[in-house]
Amino acid sequence: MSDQTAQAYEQLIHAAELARDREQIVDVDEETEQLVVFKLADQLFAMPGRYVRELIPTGDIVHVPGTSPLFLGVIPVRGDIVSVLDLARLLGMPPSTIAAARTRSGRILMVAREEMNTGMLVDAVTDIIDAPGSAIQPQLSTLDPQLARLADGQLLFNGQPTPILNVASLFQTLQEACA
Amino acid sequence: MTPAAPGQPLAILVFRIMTTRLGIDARQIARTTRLPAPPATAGTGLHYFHERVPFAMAVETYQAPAILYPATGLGVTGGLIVDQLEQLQTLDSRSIRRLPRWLNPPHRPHPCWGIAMQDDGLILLMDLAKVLCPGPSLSQ
Repeated sequence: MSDQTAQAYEQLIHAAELARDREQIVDVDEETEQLVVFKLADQLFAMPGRYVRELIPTGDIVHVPGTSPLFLGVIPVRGDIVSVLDLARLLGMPPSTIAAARTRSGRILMVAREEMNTGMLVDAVTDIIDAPGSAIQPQLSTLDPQLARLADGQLLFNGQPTPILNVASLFQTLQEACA
Repeated sequence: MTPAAPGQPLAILVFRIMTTRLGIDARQIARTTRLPAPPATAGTGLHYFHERVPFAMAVETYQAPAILYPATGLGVTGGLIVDQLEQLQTLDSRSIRRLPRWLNPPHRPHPCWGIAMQDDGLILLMDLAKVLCPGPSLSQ
């Protein structure tokens, strides 16, 4: 190998190393959004953490007869009574039951936005993450239309496309359903 | 049905439909009758509770049925068949909460006027006049 070729080769390797390093640089100033990642019928979903006040075990949900089938019932939470929404049913998935809700991993997300609040039943909370803005992508155009109306972008979580639910749309749909 | 003033005791007759505990203000009830078996209702003016206020799950049959007859002056007649009647309970009205707004849309008020929080669970407090009022049941 001539000196010139060796030099060009060195330059190429150096450029490749620089490019690799650039890929690993994390923008620490990038804004992040806290997301609660959870499972419903083996499917992953996320919800902005700023609307999730707390996560509580399912406990004893008391069915209130004669109410919308979207609601499984009510639970007492620190001296107050809170409704529990069947989130799976609202998303067009097979409905949950109170019996199925009593699993060890089942959780109720206490969700609040402006004047509205309700508990939402999920099968399990998988993670709570701080997702950089660049990790949130537009949702797939092939997403189920009922779900697409209630989602607002998607997150790649462990390589799995995870719809991010839009809490305002969820409450609006609930209001329409209960009107 | 209006809750009693804060701190005032409230006598409630408690019963169950499946695992749900429900209660009715004793002032709304004239008398009760316990029955050996679920009665036929056709043409009798009697109504099963779950036919007036439907449950999400099927209610097969009543194990220990009882009939609640409404007090005179309540504006309704007939009788309400309930299940597993318990003793009269005295509740502190401070333990009673409202039904969450999602379950009680203003245009279609629910006959459950409150929920009593007891150490052994919740009791849904029903307005007997609204449950028995003539017309379609809540599901129709």
